[in-house]
Amino acid sequence: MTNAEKHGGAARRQIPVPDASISQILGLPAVYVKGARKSFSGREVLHDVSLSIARGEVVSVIGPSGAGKSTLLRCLTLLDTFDAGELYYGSLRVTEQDENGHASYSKEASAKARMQFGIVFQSYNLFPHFTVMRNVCDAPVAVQGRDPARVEAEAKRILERLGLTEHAEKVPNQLSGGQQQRVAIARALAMHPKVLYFDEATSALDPRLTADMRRIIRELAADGMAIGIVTHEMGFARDVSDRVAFLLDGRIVEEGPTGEVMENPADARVREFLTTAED
Amino acid sequence: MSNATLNRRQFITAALGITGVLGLAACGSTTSAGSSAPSSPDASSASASSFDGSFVLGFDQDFPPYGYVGDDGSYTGFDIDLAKAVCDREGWTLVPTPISWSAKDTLLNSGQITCIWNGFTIESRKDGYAFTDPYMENRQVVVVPASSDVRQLSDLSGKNVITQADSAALDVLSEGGSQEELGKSFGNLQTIDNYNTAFMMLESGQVDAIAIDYPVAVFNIGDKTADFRILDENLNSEHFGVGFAKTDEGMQLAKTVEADLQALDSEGTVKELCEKYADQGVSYDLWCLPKA
Amino acid sequence: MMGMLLSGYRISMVIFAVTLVGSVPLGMLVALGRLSRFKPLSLLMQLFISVLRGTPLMLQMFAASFMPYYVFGLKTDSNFPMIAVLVSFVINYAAYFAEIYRSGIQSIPRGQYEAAEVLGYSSRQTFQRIVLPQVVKRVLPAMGNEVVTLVKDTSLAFSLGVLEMFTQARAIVTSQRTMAAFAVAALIYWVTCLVIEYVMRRIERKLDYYHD
Repeated sequence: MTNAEKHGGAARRQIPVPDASISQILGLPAVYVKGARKSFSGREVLHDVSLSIARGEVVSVIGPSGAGKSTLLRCLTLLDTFDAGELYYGSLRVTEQDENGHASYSKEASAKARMQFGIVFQSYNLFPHFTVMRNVCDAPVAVQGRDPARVEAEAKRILERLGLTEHAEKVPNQLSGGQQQRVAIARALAMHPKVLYFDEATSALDPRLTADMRRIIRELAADGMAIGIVTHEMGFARDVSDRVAFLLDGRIVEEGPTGEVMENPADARVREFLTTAED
Repeated sequence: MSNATLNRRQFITAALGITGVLGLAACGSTTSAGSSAPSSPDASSASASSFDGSFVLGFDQDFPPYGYVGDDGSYTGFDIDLAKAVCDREGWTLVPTPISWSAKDTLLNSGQITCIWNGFTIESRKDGYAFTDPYMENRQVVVVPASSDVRQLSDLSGKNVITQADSAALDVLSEGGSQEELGKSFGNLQTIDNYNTAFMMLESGQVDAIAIDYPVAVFNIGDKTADFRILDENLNSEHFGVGFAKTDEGMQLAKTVEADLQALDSEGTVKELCEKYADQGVSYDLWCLPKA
Repeated sequence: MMGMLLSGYRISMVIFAVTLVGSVPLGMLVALGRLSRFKPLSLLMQLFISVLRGTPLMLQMFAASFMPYYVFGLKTDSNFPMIAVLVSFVINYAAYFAEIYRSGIQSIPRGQYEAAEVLGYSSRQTFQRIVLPQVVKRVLPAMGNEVVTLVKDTSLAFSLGVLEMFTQARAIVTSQRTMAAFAVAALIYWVTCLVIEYVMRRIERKLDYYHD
């Protein structure tokens, strides 16, 4: 807490971000997955997927619906499990390999990992019976056992930063979609994650709000947050990402710096996807 | 003006008038209802002396099992069947006629009905009518488990007694009933919707006694006579008779009918009829007309 | 007359209150058992709910009242019918409430659980802080119906001879040959239901600060 506050106070911006950790010192990525596989009733949805996001980096996973993006995101956020592969959050190894080569998850590692990331769901999934303030403060107090007064003070700063101060005592259904999305961001940030995921960050937003979202994401990255975005919208991915990865039929077929991959894709399928998607 | 041609409006006026008078009179005197109506032989003699073989039976059509409207819409009941048997013997024609109960005295004295035969309680009415001897007893009794230490009514003090709502037994034990004091001595006087449940409660110990009509008690005890006991002391006892106008002719008819009933009893018809209505609580055990 | 009716009303309200206090939490336990991933427990609760909702309350009252003697040979006493009424009412209403709770719990969107899981809530915390408050709001109208039904169902205690208001009304009608007692009893039942509906509306309004 004190570290975070110090850090938040010293940072250029108001949004508190995680303190420097061993993984940062060692230069480890904030999240790293290697050789991930997942199948549903015999059908392989993820095939040998490897991906990493560094601190301060924005990475978009792009692909058509059904490519396995949602499954990948669900497994990264531990809402589902990889069948095989390795998953790390910083220096924390989340999966162990059992004797059959399957990935196994221990309760303790999963619980620790959950404190490393946050997610902004496509439908936000705010708690409708809580005010905006309570949505933001409840988990830090109830789950992390932090001091309610300090959590509230911090929540106020986060809400102010996201332009939500006047909505603090409203309930989610009194807010617009864009406002609800920002509440979801605030709720995630209050937990001090190192990685923040967005599921289809801009599907419900108009152009002005999309620009706002881009600015918010870039600012969070500038503060050292690792950002992972799953989307099928090329334009936003191009604007916001440092790096993109194309997921087609459960495989990452091309991956690299945004400009390079977008302007001059090596893979034929990506080229085809880009042309059809641009229409 | 002949009573035989009394029209409908005149009848209603008369009935209402008498009803009102009786109602008022009842407030002041308990005996007026029985004694006032048939008390003027000169008024009734002219009309009532003409029994012509048409046996007009007045009854309250809502009084099963004695007289009521059957499923097929015709008048039926134990008393009506009994009257039919009497008429068959005498060669009379039975004309069952539902009456307004409060107008029964007027109708009887004017000769519009020959008799009242309808679970008609003799007690407290003796002076008003020419009755046959009582032919049927109706009594309320108390049932206890065979092992109970209750031997007589006074032993029921402080006990939980149950009876059916709407029952004669409840009337007897409630305020204004003939056993009001006894009812008050109970620990609890409960009511229930059917005696089957009451017997289950008695058997499992939830109540100490059941107050009940005798025939219903016999019916419910059935073959479990080893488990239950009816107290020798009755809660209440009353008797049914056939009531005629208090005239010479009425008394003559009462004698005739009484003799016929005795004859029907000895030939077994009465017993048959009792069995026919057994499921409604009529029991030959309660037939009380002495054999001829 | 009023004295008898009111003493009956007191008994009716005891049945009402004990049933509510007992069955509201018991129903929740049954609903959670029914939704449990432990199959035997879930099946047992399913059977429990099915039997209690599929047989008349009257019959359950008789079973509670007479099983001890007729099945186990245990003599019961004059207080027992009331106990039997309370036990059967609590259990019967718990079964009905359990089904209402279950549908309420299942109507909470999957996303609520996922958001809670990602935020690190334990399953107990998720239930207490996220699910239950939303379930309460969703089941309230259905609960209101059941509670009003309960007021009227108390008159079933009549068939075990418990001196609740309807029993008293019938006794009065029999002894006084007037229907007035029925009319007054009906009025008292009705007013009670009006009060309950008013209270339920107040609670609903209190929870009306959000819509999902």
